[in-house]
Amino acid sequence: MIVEIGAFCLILSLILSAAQVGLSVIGRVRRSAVFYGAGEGAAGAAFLMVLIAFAALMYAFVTSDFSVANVAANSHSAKPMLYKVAGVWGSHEGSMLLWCLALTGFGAIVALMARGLPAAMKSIVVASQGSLGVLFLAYTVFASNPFVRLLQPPVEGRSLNPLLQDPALAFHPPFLYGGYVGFSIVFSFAIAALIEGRVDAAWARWVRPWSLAAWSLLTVGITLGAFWAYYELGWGGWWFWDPVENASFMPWLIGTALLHSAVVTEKRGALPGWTVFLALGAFTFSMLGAFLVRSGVLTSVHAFAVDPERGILLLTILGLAAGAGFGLFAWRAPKLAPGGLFAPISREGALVINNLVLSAATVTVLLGTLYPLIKEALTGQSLSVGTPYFNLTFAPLMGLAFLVLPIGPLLSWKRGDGLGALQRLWAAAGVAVAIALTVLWVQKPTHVTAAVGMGLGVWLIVGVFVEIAERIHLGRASPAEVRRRLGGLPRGAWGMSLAHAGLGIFALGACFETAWKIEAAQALSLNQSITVGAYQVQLSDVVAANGANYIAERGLVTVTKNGKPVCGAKPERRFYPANNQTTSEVALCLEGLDDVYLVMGERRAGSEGQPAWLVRAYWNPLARLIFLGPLLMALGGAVSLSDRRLRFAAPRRAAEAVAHPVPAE
Amino acid sequence: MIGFWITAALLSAAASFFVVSRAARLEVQTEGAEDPRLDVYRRQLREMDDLADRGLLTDEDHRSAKTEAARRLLGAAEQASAPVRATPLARRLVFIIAAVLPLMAVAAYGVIGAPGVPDQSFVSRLAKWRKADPASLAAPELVAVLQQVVAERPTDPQPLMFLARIQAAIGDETSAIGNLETAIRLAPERADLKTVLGETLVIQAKGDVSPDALQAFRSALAIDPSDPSARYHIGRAMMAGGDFAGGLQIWRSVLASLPAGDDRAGSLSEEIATVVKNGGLPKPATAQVPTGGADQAAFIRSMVDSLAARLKASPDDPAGWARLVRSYGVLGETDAQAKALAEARRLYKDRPDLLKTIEDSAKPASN
Repeated sequence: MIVEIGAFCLILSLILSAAQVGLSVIGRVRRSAVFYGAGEGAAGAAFLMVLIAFAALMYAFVTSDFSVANVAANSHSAKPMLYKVAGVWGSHEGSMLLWCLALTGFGAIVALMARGLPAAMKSIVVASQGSLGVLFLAYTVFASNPFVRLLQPPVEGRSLNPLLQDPALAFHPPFLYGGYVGFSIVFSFAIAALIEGRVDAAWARWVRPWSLAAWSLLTVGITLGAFWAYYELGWGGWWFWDPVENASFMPWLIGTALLHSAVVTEKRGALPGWTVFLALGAFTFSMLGAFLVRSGVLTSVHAFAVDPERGILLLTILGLAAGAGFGLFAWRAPKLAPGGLFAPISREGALVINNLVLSAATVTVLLGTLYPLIKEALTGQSLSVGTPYFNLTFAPLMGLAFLVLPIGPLLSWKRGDGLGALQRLWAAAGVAVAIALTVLWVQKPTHVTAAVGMGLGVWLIVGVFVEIAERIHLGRASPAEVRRRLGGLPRGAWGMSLAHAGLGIFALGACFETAWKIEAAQALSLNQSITVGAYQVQLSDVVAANGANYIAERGLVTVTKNGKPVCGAKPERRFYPANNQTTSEVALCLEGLDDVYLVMGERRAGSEGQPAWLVRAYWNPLARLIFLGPLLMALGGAVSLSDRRLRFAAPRRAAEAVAHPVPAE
Repeated sequence: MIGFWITAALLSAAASFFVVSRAARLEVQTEGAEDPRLDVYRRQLREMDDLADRGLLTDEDHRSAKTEAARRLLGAAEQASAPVRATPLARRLVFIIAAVLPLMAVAAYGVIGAPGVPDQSFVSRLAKWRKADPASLAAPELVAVLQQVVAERPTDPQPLMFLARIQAAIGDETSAIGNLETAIRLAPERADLKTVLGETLVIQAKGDVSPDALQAFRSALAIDPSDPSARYHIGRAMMAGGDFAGGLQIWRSVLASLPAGDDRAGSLSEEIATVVKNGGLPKPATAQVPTGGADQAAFIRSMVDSLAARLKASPDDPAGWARLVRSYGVLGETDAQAKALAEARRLYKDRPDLLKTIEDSAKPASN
């Protein structure tokens, strides 16, 4: 009964979403509070129904109800509980349900909790969100229904791809979808602004928390995905410029641009059209990502559903939603009131450069992702666009962005003192150049680009400290005044600093790891060892280690440095009978910020017929910074979001109760 | 079924109530509300003053920023417009819409959903299989039942061996070998377990007697020198290794030692005749291994055959056809599967819904 209740609730949520659109539109046309309220109520009820449907599907997964086709295709009775739960979104149908859950959830939050919005604008936001809900729920109900039943259920399920049975990947989709779909609200706000013909500072302030929340979730989602790729795929890499990775990276880049341009619109009322354009673009790229992953146009380790028919439907949804958004933009944007003026050298000017670079970078990634597809469609030739292309195009653009980044926050709004800002940054520049030269001199083999990248990373990090020092008048005011100013810094400012520092930390790790990682591989019999960098890796023993749904050989590996033990690592080679698939479980040996990364291959005969195992070992220097940096960035987003000035539902009394002085960002 | 409709009705009522109650609440709340933009701009103005008080804005910047913010405030105040009050008609309309929504959902569910299909958790299905006569169960069902028995009796090698035999028969040799190794650890004195392990290794190697298999047979013979299967395979390994006469001698002694009425005697004597005629072993892929594992395969075979016979007698049984098609898939008999599928297609050409289930059963790896 529970499964069928889920199926019913999913259909009811589709109808409620349609009602949400109709009621809100009537409300807007007649300016009727009753219809506004009814539309909002429908949004809340639609979310509630999707939530029940989601819980019902989870129940089916947890109880291994193989009469549900989706469970039979993606689960197994012996699968560990975490992956039974994660299996809900491990399939195409289930992940669409998660998408709908996030879509209606964000819609319900705006409808029921965002009190400080003009009623007319809010009704359009609710209607737009409802329209997206109708599109995606209709797709889920009619083309990708997770509740389809089997009259003859199989005895066992086909289980989830073992590569996806991993904690990082279990939580990766909820974050990723939170980010993707979080941009839907921003999209709906943009639609509302265009219809109302008003993109002003107030609008930008209402949009900013949503873009911040979506951006932070997307950052965590992408980082978890990269970490998963790093230790689960067993190649030692963390980013492959894989089309599916790019699909999640493009909305992130546009979202980052949006965060910054929304600040300009909020503070100065400037760039209204551009901010709305980005707001439409972020969700469009999210939908493009959903299409690319599911349509079957890509072959990728991540592309988990390959179905051209569904792909065409998703492309239609993308076309309808983005077409409506950008069509409206083309029609209404020229009528938007222009915002405040500013000199080229000003905070706004720096943010415009940021936006130009990020947009150009997005186009670069888009080209690199779609060009092979277009080429193959037109000429039938398959073509691979890989790291060299992105190193040549994307990396220099980012270098430029990094160069400008610390200067921006030191410029004033409207008209800035460029020379003054640069003078204040001389220390950061000095440290950055010194680090780059030291790396160039000390680290062999010589990698000029990596040294430059590290210099830029340091430039960002030290730049953040300089900026904070400037804000609190360090060295210019009394210690008491400095402390007072430090305590008075708004969370938004701390958030920005954390995010910028996180970016610098990421750059350090990424450049160092990519340039100076060391790999060694050899077939080892018991008690033989190989050397990787300064580490000795010895295969001490291999034992059987069977799990609930797999059988495995586990290597007991001892890692030593200069004769001193560093750690005991346990790489595994697993066989999952349900999938007839073998996977490598990487063992990571954390040494400071470095990783010794170990993969064990299958058993083979050694030189004298004794059993041996191919052991690959990598020394990945500063690898942890690659993941720590982005997490710090997401934390920055969360800290900014906690700034009371940005709370979208902040009631009026909270605003009036602001007793402490709050400096501008 | 009735429980489902009651729950669906309650949930529908809750959804409708949500819509109506929010409409009623907002009607009261929005009366006389001012444009929230004004509030945002007032807050911005206050922030400017705070900054200026703390010396973070120059007087000139403060003046111009404040003028800008004040201009926005005035602009917003001019454009503000409050919602109109509700008319009784609007209220009635919302009420009617809220009432109609669930009816639409029920109608759509009737078309798309599967009303009356119960939940079928694995645990409940397993309990049903355990109560059923094992002969009526399909091999994967037997595997599931035996896995549960093994979990309940972790120190008993017997269910492990049964489980392994069925797993080997349905092509999951890797799990079978793992289970046999566990069983041997539990009862190292049992020769039969080692023999079955050897046989399973032979099945896995598609008829070849691998060094691991040979080792298993030898250790079985160390406990029970008369074990016919172990001797048979050792003989086979000798022939494959070039010692044809030695191997043949062992096979003949195995044949002589088999008790009267043993099914294996017939096939073994046929095999001896073949190798004598050919002067050597046939290719491994075609080798028939007269093993204990064959008992299990025969058991499954007879089950499938009886199902096929039953369907021939009374063909109107879609579930039976689905099972037959699936069983042939499990046994790897693609020709027989295609034949059964063709027959099912002929029978159910007017019932695409039933046919789909049967065709789905033909897809590989669904169980």
